[in-house]
Amino acid sequence: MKTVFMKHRGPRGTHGLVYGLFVSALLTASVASVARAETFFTLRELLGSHFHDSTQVGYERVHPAADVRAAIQRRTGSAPKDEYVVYVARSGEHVDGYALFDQERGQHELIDIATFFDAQGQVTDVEVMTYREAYGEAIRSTRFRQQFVGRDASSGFAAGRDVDIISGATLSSGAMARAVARAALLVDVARHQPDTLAHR
Amino acid sequence: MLLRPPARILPLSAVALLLGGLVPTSTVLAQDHGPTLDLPPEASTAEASSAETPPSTETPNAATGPSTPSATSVGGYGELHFNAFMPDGGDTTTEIDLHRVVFFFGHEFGHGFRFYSELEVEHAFIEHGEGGEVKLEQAYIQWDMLDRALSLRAGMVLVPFGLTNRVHEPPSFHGVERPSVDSLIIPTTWSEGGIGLVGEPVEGLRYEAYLMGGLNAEHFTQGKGIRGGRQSVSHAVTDGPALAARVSLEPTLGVELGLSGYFGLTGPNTDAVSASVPVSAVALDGRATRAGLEARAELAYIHVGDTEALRADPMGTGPVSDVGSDIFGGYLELGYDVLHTMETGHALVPFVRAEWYDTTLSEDDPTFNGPSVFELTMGADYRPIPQIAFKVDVQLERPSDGNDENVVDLGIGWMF
Repeated sequence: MKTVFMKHRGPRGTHGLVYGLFVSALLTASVASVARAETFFTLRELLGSHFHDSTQVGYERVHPAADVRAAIQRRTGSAPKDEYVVYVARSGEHVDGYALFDQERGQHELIDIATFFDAQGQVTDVEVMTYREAYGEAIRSTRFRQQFVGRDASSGFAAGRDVDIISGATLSSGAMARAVARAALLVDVARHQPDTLAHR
Repeated sequence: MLLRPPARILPLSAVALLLGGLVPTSTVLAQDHGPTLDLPPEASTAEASSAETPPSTETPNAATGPSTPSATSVGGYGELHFNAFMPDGGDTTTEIDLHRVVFFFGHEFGHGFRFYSELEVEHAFIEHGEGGEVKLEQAYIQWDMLDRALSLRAGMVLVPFGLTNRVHEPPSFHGVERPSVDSLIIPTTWSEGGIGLVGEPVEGLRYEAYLMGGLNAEHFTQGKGIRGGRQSVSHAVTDGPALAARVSLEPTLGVELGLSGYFGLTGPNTDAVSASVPVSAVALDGRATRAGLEARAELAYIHVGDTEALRADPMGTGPVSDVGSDIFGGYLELGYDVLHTMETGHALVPFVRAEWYDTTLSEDDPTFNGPSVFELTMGADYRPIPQIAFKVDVQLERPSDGNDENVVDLGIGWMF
């Protein structure tokens, strides 16, 4: 006759021990660790770090003209805002570089992205300031961001064609590519069309 | 100058010591001799709501750049299918089915804590016990303890086994229906209650490992393997626990290789059998998206122990389960985006997928031996934007024993 165990509902015996050890180890690690915030950089930190050798970082308000708005919409799939702030680093009268802080939607959430440029409008760095998605955070990896370095307003930014995407982070990869493309166009405006700038 | 992520880790913990040099150290951001910052007035407001505080519901300000969105977010995905089944020698039947709509709810608590969930409605409705089903696919708390290197995840989690069980939004895979291997061999969607660790300690190397509830051996079947044994965290008996883990490597951007392992005791989770019925499983997977090429491959092998005990029939009432001892399947899929070189931003991807699977591999006893199946799926996906896919395909199913069947599928999938 087949023997049927009478069940206990819940961990017991050696299985309970395994649970206990595993959970204890996790809790020990948790208590000992330092929780991080979801914001990795602040605007102030990034400007201070990237333009450490400059004497001053100011800003200009940029209102993209119709042709730039059209270019941004074509590249990013969405209409730009009416006004952007472009940060300008200077040493005396010499412009050292530019920065733009913006947001782009990944799968569900907005991603805060900072893009830095040299005086010629070429990308020198891209940083994720805040990431809120449950997945896709791998776009913070150095090798992914490195792809944008050296690109400018005339470069291609199509994810999957001009920019290699990260496995499992297709939408977030595309979001960063769109953000950098938009930033490159806006900085190009700031560099070449000073009449479009509305000085503060 | 590219900053090394993450920037604000303070590796003071025992975990950091254990991980040693694997965890990127903090980047110096000191501004002691930096430039004078002349920021717009809106920037101070934006900064005040960042960092260690939970996100607020502040209205985005176009002028300041980043602003802080709501802490609670909603998303989802879904797929509508039309199928025409054409069995060899039989009548063609057709159906249209809102196969699934899944709603995502997430919440950012701040301080590294987040909640994530997915609630699924299958086949549009449930009424008087008929129709589809409503069920949770995921519902867990994640605590990011060491940036991307180490997070604690606890709750109802996806079993980290194979490709599609982890990532199954419709625009992310080719074809109207998921691969049969990801249904009959790997019981997608497979969720269990558990606790574990996830992370990416070095760029491109990712892991997930959980202690979780096990399967119930009583509901294993010959045709669908271990699929019926999922307990889905509904008063799930956990006398037989399980361990599941996956390690993946992305050696170059867009190319990922994964190795998954699973071991659990399934007999203790049912009164119907006295044996432990251990289930051991391993899966290899890979995917690549480069230069317009979209390729995926998956191999999975599952061994069910103590099948003699499941097949015993001393009372003459039939075996507890006729599941096979060895379950195996795999597929290779290749596609190419013919619009890849164009400026359209759209994707049109003809693809072909070859699958082979056998839920009763190497069974000598014909009573417990079922046919193996070869499936060839040919079709195309059109993605006007990455979040939406229109799909069409033809599936040729060729079992080693029994009737062939051809299926024509049309579908639309979305995610947001």
